[in-house]
Amino acid sequence: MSHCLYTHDRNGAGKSTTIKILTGTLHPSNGNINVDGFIPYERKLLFRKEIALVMGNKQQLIPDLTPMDYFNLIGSLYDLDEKMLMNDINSLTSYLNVKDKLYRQVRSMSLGEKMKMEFISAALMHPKILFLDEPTIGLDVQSKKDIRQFLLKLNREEGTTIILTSHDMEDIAETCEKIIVISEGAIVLDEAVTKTISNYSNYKYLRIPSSYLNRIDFRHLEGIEFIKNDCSKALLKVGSSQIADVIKGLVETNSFDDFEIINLSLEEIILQNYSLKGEVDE
Amino acid sequence: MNKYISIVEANFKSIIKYKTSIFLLIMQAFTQFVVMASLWGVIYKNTNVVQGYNYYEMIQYYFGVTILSYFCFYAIDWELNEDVHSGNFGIILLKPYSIITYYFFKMIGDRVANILFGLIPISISG
Repeated sequence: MSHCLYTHDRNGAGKSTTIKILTGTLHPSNGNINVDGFIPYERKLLFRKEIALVMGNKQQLIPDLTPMDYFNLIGSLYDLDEKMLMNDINSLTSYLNVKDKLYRQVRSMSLGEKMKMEFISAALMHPKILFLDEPTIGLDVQSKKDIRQFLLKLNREEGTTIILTSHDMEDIAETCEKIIVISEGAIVLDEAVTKTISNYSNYKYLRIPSSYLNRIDFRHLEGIEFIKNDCSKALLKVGSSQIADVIKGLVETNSFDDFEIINLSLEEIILQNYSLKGEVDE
Repeated sequence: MNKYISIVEANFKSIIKYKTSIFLLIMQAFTQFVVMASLWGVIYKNTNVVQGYNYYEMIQYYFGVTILSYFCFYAIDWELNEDVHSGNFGIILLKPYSIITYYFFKMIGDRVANILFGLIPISISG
């Protein structure tokens, strides 16, 4: 099963609540829910053995003990073969460069090291579905990169379905196949990440000083669309094939000499086409 | 059964992780013992038997009651309260064990540490 992505655009939109409902910690207030053939809130033993949860803001490791102690506990709880468990621990800790931290007290480890150990403990359970709630929050760039690679490996080699909630669009762009955006309690986007990006790859974006806006006559410029005006900069959307002509026109007709051509990141695509749309509609 | 023994073991290790914790466990039990032994010592100054027990039998009785009280007065409700408020309860709910047995075996780990590093050193020295 391929992995899936899930994200919300704002704080308090219900990311963690959705994860809690999907994992069976909370009952949905209405409607039906089914996760891999199980009704999560029934909390059947088989369901609990099939899922794992990693939360960026909630630690599951035991602070006074070492990661190795916790991994042994996981081994017993999930009836894992001792030899297989040790092999997994060795390979996963080597992959995430934390092998030398196995016998260090969790409390004395850095946030990045703790999170890596959290991911390893989740991987040791060999879950069918791995739920991640803001897993890279507060991590440095290298740790984020390591964890994203780790997730891809888990999905590719174990076939683990990954459901991830994040504000960090890089998490999503790099690790997920599918994106769901929820805004104002409704799904506003549900499609493959590559499709979302390709939908906008036919366009370039032109960032110009806001003061230039009143000098542009949009009626005489085909293929140019005003997107937004943020403080001192305005953003215009232009077809990739027309960008050269548009710039030529702006420079010659309006004497523009300050502009920037940019490709939108996934984050900007979402923010400008979904979140902002919600605000305009209000 | 292994999984529950692992819970006992993890909680036991967690409690005895710090030397200061072990020292405090011993001191706590030692202080209680000294106070009770002194109290009964004063009472037994004027008599050899109280309610059919001599001084040594009373001390043994005190030990027995203390061991039992370790299991009767464990603040499981407070621990549950803390787990709910900290959000850890949601994580515990996802693990493949019964919640009641989880807390029971966690208590066993805690109490074994208390008995091992509290009562046993005193009873040996006594």
